Amino acid sequence: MAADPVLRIMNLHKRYGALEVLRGVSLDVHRGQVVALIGSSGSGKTTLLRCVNALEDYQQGQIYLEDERIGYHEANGRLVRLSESRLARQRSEFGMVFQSYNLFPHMTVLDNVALGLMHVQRKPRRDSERIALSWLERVGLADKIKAYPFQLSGGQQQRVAIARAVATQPKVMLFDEVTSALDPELIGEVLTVMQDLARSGQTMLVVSHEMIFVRDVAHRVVFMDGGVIAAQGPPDQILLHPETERLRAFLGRFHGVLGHG
Amino acid sequence: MAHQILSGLPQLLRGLGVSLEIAGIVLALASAGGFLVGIVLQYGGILLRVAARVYVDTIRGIPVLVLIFVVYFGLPAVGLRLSAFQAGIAALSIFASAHIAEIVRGGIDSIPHAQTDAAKAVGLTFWQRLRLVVLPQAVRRMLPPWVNTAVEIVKGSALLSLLGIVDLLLAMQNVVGYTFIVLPFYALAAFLYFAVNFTISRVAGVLERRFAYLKY
Repeated sequence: MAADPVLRIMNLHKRYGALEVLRGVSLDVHRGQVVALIGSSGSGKTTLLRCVNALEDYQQGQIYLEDERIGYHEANGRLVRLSESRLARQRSEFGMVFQSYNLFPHMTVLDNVALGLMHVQRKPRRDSERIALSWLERVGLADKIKAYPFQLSGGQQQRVAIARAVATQPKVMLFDEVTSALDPELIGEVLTVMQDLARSGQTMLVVSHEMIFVRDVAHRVVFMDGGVIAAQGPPDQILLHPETERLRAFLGRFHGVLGHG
Repeated sequence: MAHQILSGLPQLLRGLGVSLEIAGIVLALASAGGFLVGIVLQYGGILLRVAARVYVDTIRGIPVLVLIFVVYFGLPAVGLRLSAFQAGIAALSIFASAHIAEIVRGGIDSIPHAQTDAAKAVGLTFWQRLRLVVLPQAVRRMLPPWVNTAVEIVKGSALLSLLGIVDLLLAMQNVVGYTFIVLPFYALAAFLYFAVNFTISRVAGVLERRFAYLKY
């Protein structure tokens, strides 16, 4: 593992009007690491992911991908949003998978996955489709390339969405509760794909309520509570030996899943 | 009488040609203008957006005939003298642009915001997101009201006969003027308007089915 983090979040503050949803979050993610964000809804996990991918603005703090400042530059001590084209290029360094899949309904599965390769990385159509196909094979959907999203199950759609996000080989993959909208019997196929990615050394920042997955795959677990990081550490320590009352209360809801209480 | 109707036909068809020419030009101008104003309404900065909103709401609140008279009879007072044809095209285009702007804005706005988020996450720029993700989905929703506007334009072109443009309506009135055959010619002109608009609606129906695969 490299000494310098790939992704570095420093003292992030985010407000919606009077409501401060992130109250000074700092987090490093190293190359090849899988970091899981857990916490109850409203604790700021999703907002944090969206800030990292420059989908949200924020009032204070810094995010670096390697040496590059994400989203803003500073002028006279004030944060100034980067230009639209620079934001677009920076976002292409991340891959993001959403809770509601968000596939493009007017494109075939293959076109969904090839889109970024063709129009962001500007690869020729042939190469883009070849790469897209290889990713679709990897998520087990090579037979669905001509299908439209609405013809697929939720689990299949989410696997396409993962292929779309990872096809451009982003430096960091962001997963935002990607199994929360799925029927229970479809969750496994999506988690298997994510586990496969994690094993291949993909750097991942994962918001998830799948505690078994978090325990087995994450290198580090971050517990967010009320817009701050309330605890973090290796899965065993955080999930099996929670030190704070808030964390114990949160994990209590998963009682039975992790086989302890 | 059959002979007289037949002899009036060429004039009527020339008039129809003029009506279609007007409608075609206006639809093209208004679609381009309405698209730009619609984009501003949806994505523009606050000043541009307010300006576009004032334009759209003002124009949509004015009878199109008033707009035609303002452009033709009013603008010369400020030194802008247009021919009847130019004034008519301009007035109808201004009118239809406002309607199409609202159609474009509404169509874009109806696409779930999550689609834009996903397009951003892929790394697409603003215009790429619009061209590759948002518009292809929004077009399906814009199509029915856009066709309505096209039909309104064809019908609205008849108002330009009041400026002395020999469109279908005025050509018909001219023919009636020297043949004294009233009802058959009015019926014929009405049928021609109907035939044009019915065709437009049918074509739109085919296009709509073409986009029917879009589901969420």
